[in-house]
Amino acid sequence: MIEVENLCKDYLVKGSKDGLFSRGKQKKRAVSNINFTIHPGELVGYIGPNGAGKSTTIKMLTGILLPDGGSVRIDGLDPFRQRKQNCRNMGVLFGQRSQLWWHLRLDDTYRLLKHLYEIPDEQYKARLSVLREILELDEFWTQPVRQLSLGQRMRGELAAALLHSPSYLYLDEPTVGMDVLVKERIRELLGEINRRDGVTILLTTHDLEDVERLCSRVMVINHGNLLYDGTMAELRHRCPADSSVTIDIDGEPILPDSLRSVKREGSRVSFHFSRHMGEGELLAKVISQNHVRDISITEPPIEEVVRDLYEGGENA
Amino acid sequence: MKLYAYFLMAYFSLKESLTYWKDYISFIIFSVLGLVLQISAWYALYSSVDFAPVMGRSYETMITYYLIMQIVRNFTSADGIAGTLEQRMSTGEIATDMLRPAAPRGILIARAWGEKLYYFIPSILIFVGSVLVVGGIQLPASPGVFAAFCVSLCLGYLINLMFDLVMATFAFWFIEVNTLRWFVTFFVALSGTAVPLWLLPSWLQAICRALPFQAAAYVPMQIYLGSTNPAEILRAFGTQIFWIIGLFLVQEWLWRRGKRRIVVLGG
Repeated sequence: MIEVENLCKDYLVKGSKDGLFSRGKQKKRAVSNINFTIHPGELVGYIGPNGAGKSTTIKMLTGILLPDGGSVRIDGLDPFRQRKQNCRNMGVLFGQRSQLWWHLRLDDTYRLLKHLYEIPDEQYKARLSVLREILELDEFWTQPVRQLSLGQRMRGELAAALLHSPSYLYLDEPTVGMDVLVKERIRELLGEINRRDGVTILLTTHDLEDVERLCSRVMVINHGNLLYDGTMAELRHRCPADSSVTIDIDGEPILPDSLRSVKREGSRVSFHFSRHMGEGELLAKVISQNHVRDISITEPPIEEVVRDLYEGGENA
Repeated sequence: MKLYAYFLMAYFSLKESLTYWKDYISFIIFSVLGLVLQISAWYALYSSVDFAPVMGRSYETMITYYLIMQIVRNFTSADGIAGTLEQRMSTGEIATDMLRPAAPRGILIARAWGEKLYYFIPSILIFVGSVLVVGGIQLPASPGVFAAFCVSLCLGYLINLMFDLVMATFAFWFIEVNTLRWFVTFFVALSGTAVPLWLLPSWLQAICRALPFQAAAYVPMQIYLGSTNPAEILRAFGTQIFWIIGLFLVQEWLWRRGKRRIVVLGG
């Protein structure tokens, strides 16, 4: 179980406003009084714009950074003070940073990890063959890492993070820079790892599709503050953005005046409506008053929902 | 076994360095050029006095000093460590070291050994080649002296290692430590690697003796040349161990304070 209580982290930002020699130092709060608990087996999305404090949180959970306030406990361990012990039970993947030996083959890195984590021979062999199969590593097994494509390398990185069978997996933007197909593949794999081995996953990402496809729970952070912690459906509910409706109508359409952003194109009429503002009745009215041939409703993209939340957080 | 993991890291680091074998070309050119310049200068000097001893040292001793010193310098140097840590701090790779159930300093030392071996291979070749060219060097007076030289060499490495770990910790406070490292290189030149200390004026010799660097390189060299008697050898070991312990404590203290300040650059 991951328990985070009143977690804070400050950064010193050097300002250059005072001229050449006396540089003013400013304290910037990167993470501010964050609280959450993640239970075993959960797959949680952790989202926020650039510089929101996501990576800083992950670095405190993994014991790289020392918190300036509050506490982190992972199965009762303090990740900074009991770093080595905590390391044994976690796998980490930084999308922008490789942990593989760049000029060597994948299996060289794995051999080293086997000894670093003191994995017994039998267990190592069994684990490796499972990972080779589900991550499909065989096709580039003997190539130096520098020659791998981004998608291949990321599969190699995932295997490196999972080799010692950790219970916790922290992913910092695992799909950054990938094309749609590879992203999809990585998502499938993450879902499988979560289901198969019950690995608890905390996923940081900019790609909200990752979260929508994978995570039952999502946490939103901005300016170091946790703005939201709950399900994806609830997030949509809480931040009502407009859905857009397109109706194909026979004959002259009869439309109520209160409809918003109405656009007509031949027999097609489209307008915006929000189901959280009692506009459902309005939609019913349109349908009953007209001869409707076809209707389609487009949910607001999740990006818009989250943008509302970020902006709300900024005003607060 | 955990220790084996560190050996593997050193080996991998050597293997990775070997993908850049072109670095060898400049290394070999500079090493050979340096030796040729030094040896020709001393040859000119000694030939002007009909190869009589200068300040009590024969021409052969002088040449032996320079050739053996190449080996001593390459073996005892640990200057990869501060540079490696600085680089890993400034690229943020330090983060991946901290994710392992291993000692970050152990990882640094192992990686530095890989790079050290990378340069050690050609320097052995250069040494053998030079010995053949100059027609032989002075050998240690006895196997006992040679053993003492080897021990002193290892202690010398540990001094430099501890010193470089001290330097490395400055990376926690200032991301840029290379300037500092450069400044220190001046003092390292006073370790006897550039010029035998017996040639220096006595006030400069006194400064050198107060610094740890001569204990790392000049002391083993003196033992090799047989300028130290058994009692002095023991005292020399004592001095070396004193520096190792002192610098170890300093780096330990700095490291404990510094790691709380880690910032990971590059996201």
